[in-house]
Amino acid sequence: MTAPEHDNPTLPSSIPTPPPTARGEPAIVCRDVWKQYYFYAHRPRRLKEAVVQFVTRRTPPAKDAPVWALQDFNLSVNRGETVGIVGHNGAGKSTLLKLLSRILVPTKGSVKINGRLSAIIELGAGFHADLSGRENVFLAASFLGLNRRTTQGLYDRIVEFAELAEHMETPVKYFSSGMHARLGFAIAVSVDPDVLLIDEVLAVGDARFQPKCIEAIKRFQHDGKAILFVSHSMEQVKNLCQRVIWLKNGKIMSEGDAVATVTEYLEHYWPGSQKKK
Amino acid sequence: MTLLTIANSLSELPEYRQVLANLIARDLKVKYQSKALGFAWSLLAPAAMLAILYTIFRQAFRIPMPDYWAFLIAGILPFQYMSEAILNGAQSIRSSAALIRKVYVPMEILVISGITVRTIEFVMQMLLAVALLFVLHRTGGTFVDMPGVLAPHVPNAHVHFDPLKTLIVLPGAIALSYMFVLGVSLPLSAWCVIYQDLDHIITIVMRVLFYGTPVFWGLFLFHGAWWVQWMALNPIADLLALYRGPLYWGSWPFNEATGGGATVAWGIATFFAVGSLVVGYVLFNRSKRILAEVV
Repeated sequence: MTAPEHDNPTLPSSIPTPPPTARGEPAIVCRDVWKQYYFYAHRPRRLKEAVVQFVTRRTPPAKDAPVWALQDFNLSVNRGETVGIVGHNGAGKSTLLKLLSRILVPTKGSVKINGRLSAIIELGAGFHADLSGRENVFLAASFLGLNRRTTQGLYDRIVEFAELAEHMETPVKYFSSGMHARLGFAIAVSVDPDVLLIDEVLAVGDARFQPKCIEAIKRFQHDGKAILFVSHSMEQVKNLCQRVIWLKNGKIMSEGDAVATVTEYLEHYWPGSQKKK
Repeated sequence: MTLLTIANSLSELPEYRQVLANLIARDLKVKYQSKALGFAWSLLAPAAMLAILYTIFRQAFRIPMPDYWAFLIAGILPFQYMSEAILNGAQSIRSSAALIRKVYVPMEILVISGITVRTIEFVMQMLLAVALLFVLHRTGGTFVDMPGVLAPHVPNAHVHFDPLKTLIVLPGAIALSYMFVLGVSLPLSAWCVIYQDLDHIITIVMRVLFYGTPVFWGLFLFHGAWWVQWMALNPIADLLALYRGPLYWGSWPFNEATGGGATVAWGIATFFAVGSLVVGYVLFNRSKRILAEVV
């Protein structure tokens, strides 16, 4: 079976083609998303307590007001677009990525992903310490929706990217954290996702591995994938993203051009820091 | 929570076949690669229990049953399977906390994998037990010398092991046990995340059930007692009856509690297996939304 050549969306990355932006429907759509964590502080976590509460008919008062981790959040990311998320700890960045990757369910509103998703919430998530690097590649790849045969086909590339050829039969509990992270990143970028979520993971790896990660992300951009990028490194955000969203306490403070929004964000917390330049 | 959510949850499960296979392989590997004796370890606990119960009831209390050891094998292995698989399944989501906070996996997959690992072990145990019963080729004891003991479905109260009937009955019995165990484990696995002391209570309930279910004693010993018929409400007792028919009595399964034959035995067991799976999955779906954030 031969596919018509003009219809092939996965061109080799060496051929310079403009990213196919806004082709069809957006890759990520969030509509009026609200997220409140199931507030467990005042709920019984033990049956014993639950029985006591039920018998005495006394509920301890809620300790805190419910917190909205994300409020009225709307987002649309097109194919070929890279959107950065900035904000302090607790702003809702990780909540957002977990909602997009379906780990969490929104309290209100809807989240839609068009295409295959690869979420790097944590490098090497799903690894089992007692299994070898090789076995973990197959395990972790299956979480990303790959079957055995497909993974087998990608295996050499993953090992090469991670630079771990001579360690693949070693249980990952003997890996250094750098090796662990490299293998995790290599798997996540090798599965050819349509949508890539990256949560603060480029901080890992040494000076030689980091450029490779950036390189991999740039190749995704080039191939017209949608990327959501969470980072505390403003340089990386400005360097990689076309658009940036600044979150504070679960609300969008500002949204727009990468450099302008990052400047606004930095100026908000460190007034005057941006004017000197 | 509607029927639609359940249909959606079910429809995405096939996509995670590979994950399920890998999780099962992972657990088996981790469990057996670290132990030199491997599978033999899993036989140690039931073998010890068999030896103890045999000594106490056969030698000390002189329980009036021929080939009592075979009766024990047919009871202890399936009971231990069901009780341990329920506990495994109930703890499966909580013990994967690190995983489900970082990666999306349908939680059902974790429960299914936890139970399947134990089921594989059980199937191997049963094959070994069948081989053992076959090799020892019981001469077949009779109840004749034990007046007052009734075994109405067994011609001449003559017990023996029937290999052919066993091989026909066993797959069905294991399949129904698996469904029952899965149905019970699903909601328990979710509640174990919310209530952290629930698994202790499950352990206690299982221990009580071990004595309260005809595992090492037979219902026929209490023939005529008013409560015997109520034992039909104990699903584990009904499932055990399936194994005991061909393995011990040398007959098709029959339900001692109700006095019913093979049709009744299979019917009641199927009712509990399917019922627990349906009810269990509905209850599970009601609480699974919040699990990733509270685990």
